[in-house]
Amino acid sequence: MHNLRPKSHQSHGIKQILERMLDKGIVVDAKIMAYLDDFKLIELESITVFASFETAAKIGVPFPKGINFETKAWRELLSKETCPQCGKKVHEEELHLGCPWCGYILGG
Amino acid sequence: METKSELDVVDSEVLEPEKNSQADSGLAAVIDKVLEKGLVINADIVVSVADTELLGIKIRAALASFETAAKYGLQFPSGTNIETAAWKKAMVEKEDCPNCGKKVETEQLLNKQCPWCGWQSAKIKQLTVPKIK
Repeated sequence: MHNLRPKSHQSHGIKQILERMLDKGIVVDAKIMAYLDDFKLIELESITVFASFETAAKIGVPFPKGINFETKAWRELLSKETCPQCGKKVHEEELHLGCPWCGYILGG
Repeated sequence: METKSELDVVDSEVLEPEKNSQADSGLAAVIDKVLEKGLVINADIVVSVADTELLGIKIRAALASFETAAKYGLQFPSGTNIETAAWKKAMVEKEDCPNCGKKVETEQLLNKQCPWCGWQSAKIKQLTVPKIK
């Protein structure tokens, strides 16, 4: 099992950084005001969220209309955990018995 | 480890995963990953001029590759024929092989072995441990 390196310990390239950012989710709350001689001319307010599908689903960010939430992928997204050793998505019960990918046993 | 089986040697030394060696941090790899995971962009923007709310913009966008979009049931433009062989193929669950990084059907990867590099999951190794010793 030693030859399977956990994903998080790999090189920290831009790919890893972006992946991490999207997995955590990014919220940009900005307010821009333009004044002319104490008179507020233009005000721009914006709240933007960037997130991966998984994170967006977990924190309840609204999705565009017309998405079919009944697919297998959605069900698995919310029911699976990430294996701490190999980073694959696995059901938690499976992790207690040993990750089917790398053999990692949760709490064992 | 002294009790290294032949399989372990093959896994770790002979086959160098292509994904990790070169294209790991290139722009292509980044785009690949983002499209594969899917990106949700949500923005509420208000523009006011002289204290009057003039313009409001709401953006709800989902960005994903065809495969991911199909997997998550995103809507396609009307007229898209989803009955083609390519779509059916895209709907089959796939995972990256931990050893060579190739996309392989999860079923096959977990229960048999990687057809590209011969990597076997812990599940299979567990079942065959008595034979290898």
